[in-house]
Amino acid sequence: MSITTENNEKMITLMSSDGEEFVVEEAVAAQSQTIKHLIEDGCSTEGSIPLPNVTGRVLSEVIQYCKKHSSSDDKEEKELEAWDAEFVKAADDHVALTDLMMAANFLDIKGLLDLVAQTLANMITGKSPEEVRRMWNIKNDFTPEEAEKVRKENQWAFE
Amino acid sequence: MAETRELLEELMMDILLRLPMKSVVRFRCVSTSWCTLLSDPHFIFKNFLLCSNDDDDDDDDVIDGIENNKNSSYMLLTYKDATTMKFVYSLLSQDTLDVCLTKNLPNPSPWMYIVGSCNGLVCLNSNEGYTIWNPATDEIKVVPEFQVIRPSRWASKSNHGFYFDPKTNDYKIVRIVDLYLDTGDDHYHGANNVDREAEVYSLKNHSWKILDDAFFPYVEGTTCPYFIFSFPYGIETNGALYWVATGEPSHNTLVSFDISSEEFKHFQLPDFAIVGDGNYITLLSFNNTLAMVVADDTQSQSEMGTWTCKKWGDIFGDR
Repeated sequence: MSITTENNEKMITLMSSDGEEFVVEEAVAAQSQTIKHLIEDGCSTEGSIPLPNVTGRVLSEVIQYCKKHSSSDDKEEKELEAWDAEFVKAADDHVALTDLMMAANFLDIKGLLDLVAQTLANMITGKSPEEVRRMWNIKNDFTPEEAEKVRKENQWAFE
Repeated sequence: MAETRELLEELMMDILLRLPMKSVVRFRCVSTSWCTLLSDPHFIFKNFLLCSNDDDDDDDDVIDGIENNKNSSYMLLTYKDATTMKFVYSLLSQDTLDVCLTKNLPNPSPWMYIVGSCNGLVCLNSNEGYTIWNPATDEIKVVPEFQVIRPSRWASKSNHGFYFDPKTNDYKIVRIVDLYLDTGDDHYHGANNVDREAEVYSLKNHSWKILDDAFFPYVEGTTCPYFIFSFPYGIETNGALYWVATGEPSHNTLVSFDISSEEFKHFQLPDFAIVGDGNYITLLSFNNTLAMVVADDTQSQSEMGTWTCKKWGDIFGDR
């Protein structure tokens, strides 16, 4: 079932992995290439579009981004940039940003993916290898000898 | 903060491509797989082009340019800066001829030239021997001294090529040395005592290996060998390197070196290019096709054309 608003905008319902429902304008949801293709293939005519990889918390952030970006045109580029900066700042830590990046990838929203990738890159630029390992649960699989060798070869990057 | 997340490899790549070079080098210490990725010249080159682009707004366009447009290519120029008298290297976009960046060459030396470059790695030759240089990180690998040495009383002409071997995921230099008994007048065409030796350097093994059968073609019906002495150095296209070789009397042929099998072959050139001084023939790689420019100064005009090289052994089919 599809609902239309007063100004005749078609609405669709998105359902998160934890069962939360979001009713949004089709133009907003279509910022996601994945959803756009689902709509084109007629998957939204009945009920809602299930998004099994995205939690309600993350989906609400993604929808915020899509709303802003579907209502702004190119003339407002400067304002949009400032909005983007505030938006990622609100996401706050690398866990939230990583979730957001995974969602942007699954939903295929290029602008959001680039924005989050750049934010995470800026975040880790000054970090130590140990800190980066902890952030993404990466196993240090060097033998002690290898670790020492790699560290020695790349010493200048630690100075 | 105890909570962590694992990130898909492709997404991690997207983040790492945006890091400054110093962070890239430091993060080689994170894990073995990061070390492999962040040491890969192809990754470094992509990151380098992305980050040396001053205008932040265009970052994504550069990534797209490199990743989506397989034809996007760059030209490498080396010259002596007129004011500093230092050797300089510039990278130019092939489409717009805009200079993307300019850097000083490492290890100042009385003479130095670029043998070749692939995936952002540059192979240099100077009076001190070969070095492989990554301009993005300024890392330098000094290649050990080559094994083929000119015997006394012999003279030699050597040529070389720098290439990537996809089969072994390795960067290599092939060095070909044409030897002839020195009669004192630098006259080597038609010399009876000639020899060709060839060797290959592997960056992975960091050593040279002498090839057993360095192919030495002779001008048909004569005992006259073809020497490789023309410029430029080996041109790589479609899995092989090519040189023009010349034998007396002014008779040209095309010598190829197959990257995968490490075998030499030679090919007949189109009729108008066979006779003449090999220096008037320039080989180049054009849209992944071997191309040839032939200048014929007797007629004060240049014959120019490209010949497609569709598969190994089927060369110069169409003009």
